[in-house]
This record gives sequence, C-alpha cells and structure tokens, in this order.
Amino acid sequence: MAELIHQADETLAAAAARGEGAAFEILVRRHERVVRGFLNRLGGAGRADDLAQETFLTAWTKASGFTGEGRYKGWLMRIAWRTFLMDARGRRRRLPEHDGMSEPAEQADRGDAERDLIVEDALGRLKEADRAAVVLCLVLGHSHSEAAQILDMPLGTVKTRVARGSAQLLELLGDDDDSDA
Amino acid sequence: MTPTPDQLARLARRLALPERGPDEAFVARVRLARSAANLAREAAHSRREQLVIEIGGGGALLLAAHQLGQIGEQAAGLLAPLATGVGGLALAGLVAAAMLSTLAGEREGLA
Repeated sequence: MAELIHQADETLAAAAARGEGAAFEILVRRHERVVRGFLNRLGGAGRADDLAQETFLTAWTKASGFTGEGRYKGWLMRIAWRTFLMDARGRRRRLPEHDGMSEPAEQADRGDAERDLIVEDALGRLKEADRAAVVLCLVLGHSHSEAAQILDMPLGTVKTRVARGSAQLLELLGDDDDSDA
Repeated sequence: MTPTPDQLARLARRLALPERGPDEAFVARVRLARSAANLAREAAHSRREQLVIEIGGGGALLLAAHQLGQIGEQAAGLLAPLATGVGGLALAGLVAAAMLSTLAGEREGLA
C-alpha cells in the first residue's frame, strides 16, 4: 500500500484494471476533490456526491477502458461529464421545467454560504456545456484541447463556449476581486 | 465583450474549488459501493450458472422421457399380437394361474 501511494496515475490505473482495489482506492483519494468539485459546479451540490460515486464506480467497472492515452484525470472527468449528462437528461424527463441545477446543498448553510450560492446561481444561468467548458478550463486548469476531449466537442466549439460563458459570468458576478475579502 | 486575461484570472479565483485534503468518508463510501457492486455481479453470475444447470437438467429429463416412451411403444408392439392371438378365456386362465402361483409362493414364504 505504502509503495502504491507514490505511483503515477497510469500505473495505478493499470493495477486497478487487473482488479487491485487498493490501487483504485488511491486514485479515488487523489481525484475525489476535483471530480466532486467539477460535478458540484456543474449541477449544484445536492447531487454532486451521488454522481461522483457513480463516476468512480464506472471507472472501477470499466477500468480496462483506460488505455493510457491522455491523462487518467481527463478520462475520469469524461466519465463524470457523461454521468452528469445522463442524470440531467433523466431529471429533465421527470421534471420538464427543470433548469439543470439541483437544489442547493445543506453545506451551503455554512461558511461561505452566501458567496457559494451567488456563484452557483450565476453558473446555473449558463448553458450546461458552456458551464462545463468554463469550469474545466478556468477552474480546473485544463487546456482547451483537453476540455474538447473530455466534453467530446470540437476545439473551436470549446473555445467559443469558454469565451461566452466567461463573459456571461463576468456580467452576472461583476468584475470585483472579492476572493480575499 | 471578450474578457481580458486579468478579468479571467479574477473570475477563476472566484470560482475556485476550496483547497482541502482527501475526504476519507467519501473514499469509504466509494469502497462500500464497489463492494456492493462486486457482490451484485457475483450473485448475477451464480444465478446465470444455476439457470444453465436447470436448463441442462430439464433437457436430460425430456430426453429420458422420450426414450422411455419409445421403450413403452416397443413393449406394446410385442404384447399386442399376443393379446389378440390368445382368446379371452385363455387370457383369464393365464391371469388366474399367475395369481395362484403368487399365492403359493407367499404361503411357502410364510412356512
């Protein structure tokens, strides 16, 4: 176990594909913050943990699907995006008036609740794909081409979506730097 | 309006995910879900195996029944000419003789 901790994602992913649960658990520990954060920013905190769990389960059952091309994190984010889309479609079928964002999480009552709610509300006004492109490139630091692979979209489309989404967010949130406040 | 790099950097800071260490509770949650999924897969696998065995058993029974039916037909084919060839009275005599010999055998057994 101690040896595994220092291994690269790709080595751990190969071990997980052979059914080594311990290797997969290190991958979960390593990436849960980003996967949950991505899903949280995409669809509200209420469903993020359930979708993240589903994402990791899919990554486990289809571990052999990671061929080593590209980064493991990107592969994981692609599963997360597809899981989110499938869930959003299901929810839209059940609730036709649904806007794509879940109910605010209980955790929003604590800490920086107000700031989180404002950000969540602004993100919720963006189209799903614009939101995903902005979160991947601006928040999680993926390149445009990585985001294009994750979202399965042409590079030009992702660039357009990031630019449009960012502009819209700046309009909604204002351009004040209150992060240190 | 195209956002400037400074504006984008400020926006990224506002949207940033909070820094924190690994959430062990979530890791445990995924571990449990994985165990449950593994168990469900194993159960489905053994259900499939059981179904294959049951279908195989059913097939063997059908084959046995078919063969028994064929043997019964052959036996009937042998006995039918005998029954028609022997007259009704002779047949009753044969049955009576068989009964008497059975009774005699039982008496010997008791003695």
